[in-house]
Amino acid sequence: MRIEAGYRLMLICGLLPAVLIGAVLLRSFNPVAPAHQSPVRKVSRDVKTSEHAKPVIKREPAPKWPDESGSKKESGAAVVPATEAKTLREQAVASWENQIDDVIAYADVPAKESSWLIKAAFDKLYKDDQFDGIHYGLNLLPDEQFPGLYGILYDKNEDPEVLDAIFSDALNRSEEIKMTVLKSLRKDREHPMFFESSRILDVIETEEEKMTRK
Amino acid sequence: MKTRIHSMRELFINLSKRIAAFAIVLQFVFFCASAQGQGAYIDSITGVAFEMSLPAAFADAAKVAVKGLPAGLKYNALTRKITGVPTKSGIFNVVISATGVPAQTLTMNTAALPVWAYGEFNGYLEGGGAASMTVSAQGKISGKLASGGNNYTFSTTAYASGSSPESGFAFTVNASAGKALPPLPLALLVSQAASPSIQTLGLADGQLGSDATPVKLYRNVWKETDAALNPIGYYTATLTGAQGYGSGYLTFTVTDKGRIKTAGNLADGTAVSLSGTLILDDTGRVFTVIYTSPAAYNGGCLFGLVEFVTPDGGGKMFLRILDGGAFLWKNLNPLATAEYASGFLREPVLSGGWYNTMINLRDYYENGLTVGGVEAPPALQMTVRYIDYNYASEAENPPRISWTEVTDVADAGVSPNGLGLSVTPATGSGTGLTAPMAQTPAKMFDPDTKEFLGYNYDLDNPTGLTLKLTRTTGIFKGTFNSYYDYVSVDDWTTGKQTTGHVVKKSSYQGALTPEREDKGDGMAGRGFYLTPGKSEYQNLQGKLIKYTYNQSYDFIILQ
Repeated sequence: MRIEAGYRLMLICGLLPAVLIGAVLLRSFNPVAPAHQSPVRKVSRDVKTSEHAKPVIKREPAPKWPDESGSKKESGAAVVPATEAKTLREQAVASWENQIDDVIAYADVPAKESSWLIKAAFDKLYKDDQFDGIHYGLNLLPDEQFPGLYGILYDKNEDPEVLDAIFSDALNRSEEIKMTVLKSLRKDREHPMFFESSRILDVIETEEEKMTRK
Repeated sequence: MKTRIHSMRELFINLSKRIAAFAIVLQFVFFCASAQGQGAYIDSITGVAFEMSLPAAFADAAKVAVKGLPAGLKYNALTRKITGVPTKSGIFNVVISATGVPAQTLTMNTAALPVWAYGEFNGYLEGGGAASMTVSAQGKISGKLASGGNNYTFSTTAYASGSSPESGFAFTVNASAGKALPPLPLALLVSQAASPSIQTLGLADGQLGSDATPVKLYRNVWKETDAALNPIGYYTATLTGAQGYGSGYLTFTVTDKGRIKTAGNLADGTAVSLSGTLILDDTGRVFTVIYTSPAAYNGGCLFGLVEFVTPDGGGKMFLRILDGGAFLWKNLNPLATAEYASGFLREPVLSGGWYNTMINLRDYYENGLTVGGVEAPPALQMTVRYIDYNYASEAENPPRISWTEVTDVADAGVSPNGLGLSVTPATGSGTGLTAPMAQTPAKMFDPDTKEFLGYNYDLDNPTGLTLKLTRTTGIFKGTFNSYYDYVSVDDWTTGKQTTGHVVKKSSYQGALTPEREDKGDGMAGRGFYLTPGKSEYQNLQGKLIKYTYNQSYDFIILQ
């Protein structure tokens, strides 16, 4: 028993200093770093972009674990703790994108019915995410589902930049969408897009159409 | 025994010392090894797909755990790789551990996507088409392409693995146009403009489809750019007519965010409206893409790149087609012209510039304007009745017979050309244009014989031209008459002729372009008027099908 106790004592006496020495060594370990060599893959263009040539992506193998000569990159940045959970802001963006994806996937759902869902998801976005968010929807929604955005477009309290983005996009869509939007917005003098709608209609409407309206 | 026990104790003490010393060495080696892992760095970029295998030491390890990864990256136990798209920049300590294998730590440096690689991009497809794309700071990409009357959309979660600021950010994706059309492969590479006038200018270059249609997009930099470069304001332009068609016109509204709304009428009567973005290219030129494909054009389009140019020595901006050349105006509708199924392909030149919605017309047109260059309308097909004796009859007094023939009748040659237009009101700021009072041509008779001599067209405004200028848009509209005088009944038995007089009212429209590249050209404004044309074609069953189309003619206002 005494022998085992002595052994334990010796082992502890050996390990403790070892840990301490190791820790000190680790703290002070700062090998002379060779020029940093990023293990990030290389992409190359074979030809100049101005020649409209097809960009060729040369993929090297996935990055490997750095070898022992892996160097330390000088950086004054503090280490960022990993953030596994999505923030509320990120959740709102994900929810918005999912909503748009759902509307596209379930194309048989009338746009009018999805409109309030889209608006609810949009209004949950942080202001700074709304512009990117609306472009995500505008880029992906087909003409058939575009009326799903009317809830946002006709709400004049939304960010004018967002309203302009939707309005602008409508102008590049089918005549039916374009004219519906233009004529609806012309009815609301307080809407940020009223002036542009009126101006465009003033240019493209025939005299007969103008007379009929009066 | 005691000695032996004593010896054994010494032996154990010795052994313990050795073990302890060995442990110290082992610990040292272990920590040195750990230190080497601690010093290892891996680079990644937010928004760029990332994939990395585990260190060799973990190749066959069980219960691998990876902790501390940046948001967007995950360890996939099946592939034994770390994959994903980092969504946050920073430096992350990633610890990899497994049963029976010493834990290893690496430092992952996740750089932010360069500003020029994300944001809003706008551009065009060579040969006719518009392109737009949005890239989030996290690398999520969505966009759309319009060409040939079809709209394609595309999206992907990140730039391709291997992208970097030095070599560019690339991705390939299938652009989809719904179920009706097969998807088209799209490959784009976003790079920083080679000689950027603005550091945040990104250029996306690539190709679409199997025919490798070149696609080019530029990042929208107007939020970060000197406002002086932005040609905020209103513009008018005409698409110059040529033989066989008149001049269309466009109006542009440019906002401080670089957004452009365009509206106008093409010279076949097709109203167009569209939106776009002001593009600042890598050589400092400012232009916008005009692309619209009216449904009636069956995949045809109006396409051109309009450059906003500050004149040498300053002054109001004028518009011209980027790199010279012409617009593409293509209609694939088989009923577009008299020749069935031929459609049309026209290449009008653009002329115009800045327009003041509160314009004082007197500043530009103090001496008034003149209508000119109005093409003569086409001949009308009129039915003429002829009367004669039936000489085939064997009767002593042959009976009279009549028949009709369709004859082309040219217009009477009375045109609005040369008609003077005055700025109104007569004094002060000029807000409108007016033509002389319209007069109706009256019949003229010989005072002695009372014989009908024809119509009196010797009037100030014989065509009865009316004009209305909308000052805020620069668009003018109005009507004028064309006259067709012809013999409608020709009685050969008596020599008596009955005269027909047909009045055709035509509507014209156009735009004033007070600012343009060549103000010495005398073209204050241009437009068009239409007349209905008739034609026919034979269908597959051999039946003749009649249809109407618009014939287009120029209408010019001279300075």
